[in-house]
Amino acid sequence: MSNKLFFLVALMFFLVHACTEIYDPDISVDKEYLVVESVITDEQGPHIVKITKTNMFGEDFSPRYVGRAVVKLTDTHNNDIYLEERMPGRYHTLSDFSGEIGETYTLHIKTADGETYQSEPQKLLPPVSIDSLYAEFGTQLFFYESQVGGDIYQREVDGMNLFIDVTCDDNKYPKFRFTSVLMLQYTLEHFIGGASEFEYCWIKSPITDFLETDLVKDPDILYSRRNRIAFIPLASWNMRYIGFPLIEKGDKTISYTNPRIIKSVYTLNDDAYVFHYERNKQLGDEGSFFDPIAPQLTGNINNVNDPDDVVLGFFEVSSVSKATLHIIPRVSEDLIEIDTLNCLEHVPASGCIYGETPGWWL
Amino acid sequence: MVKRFTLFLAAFFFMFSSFHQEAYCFQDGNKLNDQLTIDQIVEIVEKKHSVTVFYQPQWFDEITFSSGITDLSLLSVFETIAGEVGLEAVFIDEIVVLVPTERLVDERHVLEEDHLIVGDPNQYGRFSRATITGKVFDGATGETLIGAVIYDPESQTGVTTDVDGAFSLELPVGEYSLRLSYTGYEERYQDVQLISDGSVDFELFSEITELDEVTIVAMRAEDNIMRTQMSVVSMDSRVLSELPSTFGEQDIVRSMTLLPGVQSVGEFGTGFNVRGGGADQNLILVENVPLFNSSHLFGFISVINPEMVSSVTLMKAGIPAEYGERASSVMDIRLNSGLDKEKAAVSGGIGLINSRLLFETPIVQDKASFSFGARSSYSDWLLRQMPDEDLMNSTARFHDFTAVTNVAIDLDNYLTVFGYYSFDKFGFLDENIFEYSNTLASLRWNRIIGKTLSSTMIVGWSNYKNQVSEKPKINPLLHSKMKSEIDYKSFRYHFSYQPLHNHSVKFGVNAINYNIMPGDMYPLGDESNIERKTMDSEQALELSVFASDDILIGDRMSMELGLRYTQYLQLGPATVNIYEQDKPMSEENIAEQRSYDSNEIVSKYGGLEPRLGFRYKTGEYSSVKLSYNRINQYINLISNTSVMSPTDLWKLSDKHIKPLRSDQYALGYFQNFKGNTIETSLEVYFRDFKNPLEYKSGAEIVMNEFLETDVVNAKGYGYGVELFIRKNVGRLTGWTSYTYSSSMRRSQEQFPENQINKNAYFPSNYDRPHNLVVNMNYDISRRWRFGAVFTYSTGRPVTLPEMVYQYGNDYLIYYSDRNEYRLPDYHRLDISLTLGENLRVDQRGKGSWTFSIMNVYGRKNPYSVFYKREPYSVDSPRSFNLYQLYIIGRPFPTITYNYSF
Repeated sequence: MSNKLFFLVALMFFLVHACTEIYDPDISVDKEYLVVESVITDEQGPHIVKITKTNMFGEDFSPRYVGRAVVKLTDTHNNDIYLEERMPGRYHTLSDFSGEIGETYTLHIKTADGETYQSEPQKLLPPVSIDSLYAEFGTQLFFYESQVGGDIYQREVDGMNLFIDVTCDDNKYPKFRFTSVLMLQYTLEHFIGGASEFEYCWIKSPITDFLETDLVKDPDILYSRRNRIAFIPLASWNMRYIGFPLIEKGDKTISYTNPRIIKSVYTLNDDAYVFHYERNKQLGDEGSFFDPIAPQLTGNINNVNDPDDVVLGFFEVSSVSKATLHIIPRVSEDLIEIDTLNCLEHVPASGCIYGETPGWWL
Repeated sequence: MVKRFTLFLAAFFFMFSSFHQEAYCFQDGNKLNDQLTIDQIVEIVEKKHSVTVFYQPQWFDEITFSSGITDLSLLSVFETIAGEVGLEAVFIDEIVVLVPTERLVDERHVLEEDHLIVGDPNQYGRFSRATITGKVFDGATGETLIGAVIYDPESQTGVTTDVDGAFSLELPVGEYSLRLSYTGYEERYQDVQLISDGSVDFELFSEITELDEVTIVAMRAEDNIMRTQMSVVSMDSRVLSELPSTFGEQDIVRSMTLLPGVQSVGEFGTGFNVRGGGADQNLILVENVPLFNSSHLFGFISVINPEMVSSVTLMKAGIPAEYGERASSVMDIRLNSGLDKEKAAVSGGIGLINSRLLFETPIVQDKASFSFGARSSYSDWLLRQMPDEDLMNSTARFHDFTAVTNVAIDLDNYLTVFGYYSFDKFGFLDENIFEYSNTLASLRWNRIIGKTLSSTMIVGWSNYKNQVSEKPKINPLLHSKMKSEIDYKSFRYHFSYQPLHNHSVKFGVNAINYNIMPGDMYPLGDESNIERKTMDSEQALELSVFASDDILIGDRMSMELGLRYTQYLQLGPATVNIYEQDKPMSEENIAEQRSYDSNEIVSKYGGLEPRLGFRYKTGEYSSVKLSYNRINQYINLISNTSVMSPTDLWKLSDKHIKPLRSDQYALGYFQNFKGNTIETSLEVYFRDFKNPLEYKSGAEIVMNEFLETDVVNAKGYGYGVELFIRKNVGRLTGWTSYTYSSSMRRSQEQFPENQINKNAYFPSNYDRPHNLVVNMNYDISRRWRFGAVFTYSTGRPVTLPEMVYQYGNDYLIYYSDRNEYRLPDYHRLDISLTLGENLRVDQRGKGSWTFSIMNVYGRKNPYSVFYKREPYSVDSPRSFNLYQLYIIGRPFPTITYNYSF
């Protein structure tokens, strides 16, 4: 064996020594905590408060709803707004209830076991002002696993980056989070009795950029000149990289058309901002050796009877603004147009209408 | 007579260091001719009479002997051979040494007259007491010896040399036979007639194992028993050469983790932890300049080139007043001076990961010398040869250079100039590239001012830079680079004074200037969305004065009293956030921002740091010691990971981040056995930490201009018991240490969101209660040596996920209390086999081979635990899994070739 080969083999040996494997520590926890998820906005209700209990880490996850609780909101005028349990563990406000800008709300929960929980008061702030939303052509690298052999490949995809600019007051960035849902439409052609008939279909899916959840956009945190909120591939074929299924009919692949973004911006108060910020950090961390000390999420709800009891989740009160935007790429002109459309939130996540174009069809 | 003869031999062998020792080996039965060369004769005689013969082959150039000579008696053989060329044969046990007759006579003459007169003979009878000052050197290498003992058995008075190898011994005038000893060195007696104050240097020679492997005498009694200071370990180059090897070479820093009370987080990770302190609490001095990152390749290998090191001293407690800056320990590394080198020499090693080189040469004989060491990895080149694109696009390399020049201006003035540079680059797939470098320089001037006064002046500079390039292919918008840097300049002027025979006084001043650039982040590439952001620089002065006195009280007691005062000044320009009172510190609660001009004092701290050491000799081979020290630390490594990494940031104390204060109390019992060949010690300690840095969960440290909002006000304590047994002599040497310790922290915060574990005590990241080390070396034969190191320690504390819950579309984690769980226990066995240098001198130089296997039984010691969100699938409905990462999960062999010529 030549020296060179010997060194190579030795180094290879060295390089493959570090490895990972599943670790199953003895975590014995004989407790469970209440989890409260609630978002009250200035939109029309119903607004939902979801109450569950924690699962043990490592166990198969299944939601453990907490039913038969008494849930209410109070405001600064001592008005009580009771919520109704319509499904186990899910408590709804009345449909005509909407949060009032500038008002402060408190959540109260009394569970069937007699424990009483109360949130810290949360103020509903006015919606943030979005200066502009615009797009630029760009590329993004995607990694995918081969169906055969499981090898990982990469592909650079042409597409559009969407950016958002916001107004800064008093030299402080507004705090907000947003959700982005991409809606695509496609047409299936059917030949019936020698004539073509069309089925008009659509599909909606949340698209995110860096994390699996909504982003709290704070330019100061990401050191960004601009805030990218989404990447949309140009080619229909590449929509699969952002989670849309490949639709085939026979040997033909059906093209998606007319991408639309349904965007919701939630203006956060300081407490809510901290919660979502920490939440995103936790989602981004994996506890590896160069990751920061694991962020423990603290909510704003306490057990009135037992202050040491841990209550997870958060009672969020936010104003929300929504918009539906039609993204029109004009590659030859190196231009991307963005049109504002009517709200499409009511449209189901996916569906088809046979022979008739929906009213919102483009 | 016997003593003198032994002394002679020790001197003799080193004087003729180029002597040839013929290896005992026959290749093929050697067909004898009528006329034989000296080598052939010696081969036969060695075999026939079971002796070893030392000689220089060139004395016998072109001379042959009759084969019949081998039939003579041993004595006759060598009388015949030696007489032929004017040599004389000296027989000692199974050793035969051929010596030029005239040199032998000369040496004897010198030795017989080896009676030193110290002081001015014209002042004979004028003084009742006088002081001998000087240094003790390694007679072969010229290195100063730290902790060498100069002892008068009659009066039972003795001193040990300090870190510069210097000593000062006051005695009544008269005649003495001083015993000079040092671990692993030939003990010798030096007759001295003391008339008045005077200066004299002594030389000691390393024990020659070729002569008699079982008679290495380690006179450590006066060192570990008599030294006032406790919890200190000194190692010279010989001891260092016997330390366990990592990747085929001795690793100075990693070897320290085999000592009691010293631990590391695992195979990976920078630095080490001493008695429950953080890695940044260790002052690692290389030629009096601090090193800010001691690791190559993220901790696999130390940045110190072992070839260059002449001695290492680690102080864990009872730290003398001349040291400060860091709260846990001082590691003082001294490099080869090479002043006594007679000719240029080259040595080095070739390993799997890297190679190293040392070049030493005299510039002016006995006046000036130059040493240069270099190391470089070739892993980068090897990676490019890999048939794997990912590996080809990865990088992992380092190199370092060390240079030292020593100048003896005259007998009283020595200058040392030192320079050092190291660089590391590590990256995978060219996406995340880490680079860091250390640059060090110092100028030291040692001066003997008078008979009882000497001084050391040091001007030092240390600079540490690191940068991280983030270039995720998936998102060019996030391409960025972040740089940070610390710059350290120091001036020290220390004096050593011995006003009375039982007082050894030290005093001096220190001034340190810190300058830190915490972060500069800027975009990489045109597409990047990253906005340039530069953090305000930090600067400060740390001034200190100190005085200490090592006092001998009678035959049994000694005491070291020291006091150090430090004054820390944080200087502008700076902007300080003032937070609303009665509210948690957060960006939202900033009440005002105060600006400070350049050099304006922003904050200042100071305080006295008492140091106390006490020793009581309970018997000839035993003593009890106690110590106390307080140290203030004004610089912290900001790291919110459990492992110190090269990308962590250094941070100066400021208005919000208070200095760390450590008080340590230690008590120890030291007992030697079997003529000091076995050392044992039992030490207990307690440490109290004020203001140790702890962080909120999820703290942001990088580019955080509100860093104080993520830091938690805390305190802590630690205690431990350390048992140490060491065997210095014989074919089997090594040590065993066991430590039981605890290191706890707690937050002291008013607001729940800032509290860690509701302000309850929790184990620090360095809390590993049980720690056992067994380190042994066994000399199988003259050239073959077997070494083994077994380490065991309790697993590191970790924070693990306990519960999962759903919030929106996400699954979130509820973690345990901070450090509530522990990783599995750590244990590992490493072995090595060394084929030492062939003692024969030839033109091709000498070489040795080291074969080692790390982690012999393939223990998968988890280094880190993390969780992953698993993709959903029918087969695996669990959304999370915990994973453990282990660094060396299988036996890992290495081979290294060391050479010198």
